[in-house]
Amino acid sequence: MGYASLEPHLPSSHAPLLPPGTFLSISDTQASDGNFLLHHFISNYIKADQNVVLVGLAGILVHYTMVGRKLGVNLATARTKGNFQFVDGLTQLTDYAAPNKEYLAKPTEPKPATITSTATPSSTTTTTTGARIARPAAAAATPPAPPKVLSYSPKLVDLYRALEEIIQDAASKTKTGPSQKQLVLILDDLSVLLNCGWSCRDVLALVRYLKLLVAKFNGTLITLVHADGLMAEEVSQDGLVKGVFYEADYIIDVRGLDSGGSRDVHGQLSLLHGPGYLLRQRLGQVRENEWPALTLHYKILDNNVEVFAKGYSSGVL
Amino acid sequence: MAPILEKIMAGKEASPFILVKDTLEQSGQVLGLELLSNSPSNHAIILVCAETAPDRLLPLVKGNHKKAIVDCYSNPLGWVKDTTSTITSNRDAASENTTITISLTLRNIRKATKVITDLITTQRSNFTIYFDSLSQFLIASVPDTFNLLRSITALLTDTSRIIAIHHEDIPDADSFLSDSSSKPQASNSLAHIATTLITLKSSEALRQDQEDFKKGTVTAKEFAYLTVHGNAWDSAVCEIEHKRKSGKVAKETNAYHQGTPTGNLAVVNVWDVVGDMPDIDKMDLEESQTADPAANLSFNLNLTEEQRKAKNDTVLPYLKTQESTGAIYYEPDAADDFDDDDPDDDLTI
Repeated sequence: MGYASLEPHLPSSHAPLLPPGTFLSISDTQASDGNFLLHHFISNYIKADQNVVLVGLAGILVHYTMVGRKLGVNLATARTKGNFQFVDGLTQLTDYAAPNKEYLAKPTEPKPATITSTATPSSTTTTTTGARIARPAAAAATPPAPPKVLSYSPKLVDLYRALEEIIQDAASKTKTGPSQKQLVLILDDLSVLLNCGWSCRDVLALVRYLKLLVAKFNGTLITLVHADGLMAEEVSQDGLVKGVFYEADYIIDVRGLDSGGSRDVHGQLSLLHGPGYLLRQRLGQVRENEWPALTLHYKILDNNVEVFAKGYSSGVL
Repeated sequence: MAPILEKIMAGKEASPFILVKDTLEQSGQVLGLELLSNSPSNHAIILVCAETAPDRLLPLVKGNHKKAIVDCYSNPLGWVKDTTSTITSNRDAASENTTITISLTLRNIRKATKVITDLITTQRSNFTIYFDSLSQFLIASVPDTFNLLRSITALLTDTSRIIAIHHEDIPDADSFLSDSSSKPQASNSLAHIATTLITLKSSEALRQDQEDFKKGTVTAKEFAYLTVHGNAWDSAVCEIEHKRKSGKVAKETNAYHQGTPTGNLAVVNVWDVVGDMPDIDKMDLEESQTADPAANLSFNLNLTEEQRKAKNDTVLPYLKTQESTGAIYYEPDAADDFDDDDPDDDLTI
């Protein structure tokens, strides 16, 4: 289980997973990192033996592995099993990485000496002028292949196509009998795409396309976006947060306390009803009080996060 | 006096272009769909879906209207090459209507305009076109969106109308430019061309304003894109500005209320939803109700039946002069020296 105290506050219909075909948007600020929520879902999906595709735009695999270990999941094993896919969207996302390409992990590099001769050579799929996904050789009893890397492309559509291939691949590999496994696609985080120069409109379109794609595979989309008050004056940033909130079915907003920092309460977590949720209620897809809108407080501990009602911090009681 | 929102919903107040302005805090989609469902039964409904999947909107459009869907949702930027034809037909088992679905991208609003106006021209009249979000169009191009709306309004007749939802808080294409402050705000321009403007606010926001007003304070608000009070399913407040054909503008604040999340909408008085009417408005209401000035006097100003009859029967002496064409009508009385001759006769000029 991820964080036990968070569980009761999440949508209960498919707990501990999210309802398939939905989109959870997590927003955070500089003062309160929303990353801890992503780790919760990664851990839950892997423990439930479902598929996770994690696109690390702001973090590297090592980070997630280490936190995962604290929460009791072994991401390396999960990768070998095929439950967990990591997509490196950090190292080569922009063309700034181009001069240093020789120092970065080469996806097309041949495997270490333990590979048998029967291993097929890597096949590079050249799609467009921009993105290339180099598929590392599928070897039998070797450590999991290095993560797929998203290469720079001036057009965001290429990024979408690359992700589309990865997801279709992940979903097809793990089709167990009549029921398809649930999939979760996690984007950490969207604001990086804005900062790298793609337009707000394109990033919102990417979110739309991914949401539709993931729904086809019985999946859920989770994104993280930065929503600081100070950045609200910047139109792209503001537009992205609002656009994502309009697209989302569930919204969780992580913010620092208005009164400042505290030792016992690291911030507040709000479960919010956006326009998408209202429509779900109108359609009868969610029961009346299934997911009430409320604000909770949280505290991050070494290998757990405590979530509690406002005013009920253990430091206070 | 029925709330004006109720009249608009029932179709008693004609309005060729209803614009529902909403924000993240209070979505106008539910109200918009209710307005759409109340379209006359002989209307064809054209659903332009840009923000919600068509299969999610369709179940919420009640009634047996013939429907056409313009799907701008599934492929907004044309990133997916659709191998199926762009126009598909589905037989709707319930109402025996064939629903056509047209797939459209929003890369080029002008092309989209052509598709939509063609669809309208074939329909010609008796239709309601519904935009579930103008924001997706405005983020592509503001002038092209306005041209789209103007092209549609040019094709409207007495039996057709537009209902559109507009998200006030989403920036439009112009906002991203550095000289955006010099351009007119799309929101304001839209309000000009709309004949009915409905602005949604959450009931809690109005309650908070009422509280502040009573206390004389302003509660400090933490920054948030959306609060926990947002999008309550049970009620919402609507500020309505309705321009009649005569030129008169009716401005009212109403509210709607639902018993269950999937239940019917009922238009109510805003104070039923928000709480007590503030004292200032109570005073205004008392003043506007015409009090009988003849009450509470120590003498009787009323007329008896006989007196009333006598009053109605009196002939007013100079009534004829009121009806005449302007000719001078002179009737001399006893003291006048009436002389028919022209007094200027003896002048020898």
